[in-house]
Amino acid sequence: MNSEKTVRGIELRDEYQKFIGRKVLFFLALILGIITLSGIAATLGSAEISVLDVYSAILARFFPDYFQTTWFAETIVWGLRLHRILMAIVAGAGLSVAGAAMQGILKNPLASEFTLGVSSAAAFGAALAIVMGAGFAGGEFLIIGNAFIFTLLASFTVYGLARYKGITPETMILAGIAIMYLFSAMTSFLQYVGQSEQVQEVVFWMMGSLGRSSWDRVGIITAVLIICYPYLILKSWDINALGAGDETAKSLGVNVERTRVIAMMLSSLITASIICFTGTIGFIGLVGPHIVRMAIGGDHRFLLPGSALAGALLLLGADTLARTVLSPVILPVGIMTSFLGVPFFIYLFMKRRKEFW
Amino acid sequence: MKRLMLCILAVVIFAMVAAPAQSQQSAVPGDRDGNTVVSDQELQLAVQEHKDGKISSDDLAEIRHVHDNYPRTIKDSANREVTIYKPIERIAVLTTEDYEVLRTLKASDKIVAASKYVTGSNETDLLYPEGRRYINVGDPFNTDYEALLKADPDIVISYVTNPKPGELEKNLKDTGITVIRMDSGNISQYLEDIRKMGYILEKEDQSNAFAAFYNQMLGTYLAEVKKLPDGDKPRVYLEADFGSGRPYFTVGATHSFDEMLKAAGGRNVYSNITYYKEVSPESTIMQNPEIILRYKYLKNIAGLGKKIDDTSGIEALRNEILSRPELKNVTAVQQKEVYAFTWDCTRGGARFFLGLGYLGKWLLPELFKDYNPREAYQEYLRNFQGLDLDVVNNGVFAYPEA
Repeated sequence: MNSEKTVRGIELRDEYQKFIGRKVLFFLALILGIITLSGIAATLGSAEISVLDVYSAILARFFPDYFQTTWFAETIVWGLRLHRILMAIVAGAGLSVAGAAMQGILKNPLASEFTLGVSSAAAFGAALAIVMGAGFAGGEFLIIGNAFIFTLLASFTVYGLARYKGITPETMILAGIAIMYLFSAMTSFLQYVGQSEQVQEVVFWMMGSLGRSSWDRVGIITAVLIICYPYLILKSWDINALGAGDETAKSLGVNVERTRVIAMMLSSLITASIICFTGTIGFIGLVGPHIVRMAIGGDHRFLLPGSALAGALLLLGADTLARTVLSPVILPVGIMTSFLGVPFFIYLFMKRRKEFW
Repeated sequence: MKRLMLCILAVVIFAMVAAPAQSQQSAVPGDRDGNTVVSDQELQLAVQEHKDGKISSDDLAEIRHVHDNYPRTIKDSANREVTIYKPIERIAVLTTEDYEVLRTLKASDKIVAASKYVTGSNETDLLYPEGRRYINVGDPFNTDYEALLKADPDIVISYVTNPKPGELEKNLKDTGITVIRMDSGNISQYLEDIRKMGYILEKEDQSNAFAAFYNQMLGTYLAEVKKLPDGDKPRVYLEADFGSGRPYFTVGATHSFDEMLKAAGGRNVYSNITYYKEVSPESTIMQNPEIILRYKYLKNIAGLGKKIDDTSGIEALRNEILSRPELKNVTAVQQKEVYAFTWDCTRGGARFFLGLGYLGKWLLPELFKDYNPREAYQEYLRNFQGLDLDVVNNGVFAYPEA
């Protein structure tokens, strides 16, 4: 009897370890993928610097005594390529984590920065600066600041509306969709009254690009992620509990409203800090988490870090293709994220017949 | 179902608006058989009627004029034959370029409807002081067809590709309004366009006068540029930034800015791409341009209304390029051959007298030594646009001034 129990216990432990092992393996594969792709991406570009020169330029910063580099290689690698690669990694990770958190707390597979009105609010903020703004003097910061402020404004409005009606996932999604339509309409109106050149620029802004990356901006986004991400991870158990229903979560001692509101605000903050620099990069926040969910399941302790890795890999791959496939022309990265991500998404979707949500 | 009802309603309303417009179209005077042409025989009949006291001398003169001068056919920029059967009395013009062309031809008394930029925008007071008089028909991208039909023009002038080919024609079908599509911002056919418009408007004298002025002012320089071998022309990177402050967007073949650049004597380092695209900074460094030009639409920061020394905004544009670390070793930046110009240099006639002029002076300073963009533009505005603006001592258009 006793030994039977022990055997059962060992079996369970083995099973759990296998279960965890698969996830760890998945993480390792993603991390390896990101490192490899970064390594390759650093060597790709119109400047046609040899792989050796690229790595000499990178290592010369850390070991100036051992590695020689030229001004040209240094400028290309440190001034143009590396921060863009890191930007893709942090932006992809951030958007994907924000999406995963939103889907989790709202218990809705369609929740993302798009369906919650966050993206369209950012686009409206940018369009307002482009069409009505004073131009160059405040120019760039006006657009960034506007996008950021409107993103947060939309989140607070969604929250306010939902709170007024009682915060349930449905009310939040509904309020988000209403806000999305409102901001989209206002953006369309601005495009209608704007000069054709401004209209074109609004369109470009909405397509999203990593062309505006810089070390400072990578730093800002990283800082926001460092501040917001640990809280989300800390609350991943609570988000899991929310999945079983608000009542159940409450009975497990989760402060449902507080968790939902804080997680929502942090996700919005992450999204805002990214898309104000990049423009709206759609799809990653929606599909990054779904890909991970299909691969390793919906446990947020694993889903959140997994989404970060998957989003980073997806955006990095997309941007690398976007800037090399038609070189010297750079394609909008949003086009590439869809080209890369959708077939993969559909593949997983077809392969895993069972309900994954 | 609801959509279907809406569609039907729209069609009915459109038909109601279109129908009276159609009936308002007056027939060709003196044309009895309805073939829109006054034949010798029809003229004879009119002469007879005049003798019999049935029509006035003015009527007869009009019929004779139509008989002697019409139909007039041109090929518009969309390469379609456009035939005019009687003197044009009412014009709707959707573009600002063609609006200026009509002023050049002294035909603005025939304008009845114009684009929203003419009838009421921040340029209206300075550049189109008479603009508020006209019916606002939107612009080529968002045309207000009801207003257009209400204006009841004989012809409507727009761009080649906007409104979309066929859209304008379809919406004006059976109204008797003739659509003319022009590409008057295109340097290679600017004079030809003006000549064609002069012909159908019976303003040949004005179009000849303008051609003479243009050739004397700018044409001689451009002809010299054409003779230069490619090797003598500088290699240019033109960064065109239309409002968001994003760098490394440039123009290539088929863009009108590329045409301008070529005409002014530059070799576009990105002539192998088309239209308007983002390019990688890396390839720009690799191309090592000798001159960098930066274009930006600067609302309220540059333009006609600015004091001539109020250049801080446009200076910032140039300085931003000069301070980009990645461009530090590019020839243009090292030799400070970086220039900025604004939208005010590229709209209507300014594109030629101001824009092309500045570009020429920057790219080939020796050849354009005696050309003065501000003075040429001033003469154009005074003599051909009827505007009493001082652009020699006022306005910010380009930096540094050549």
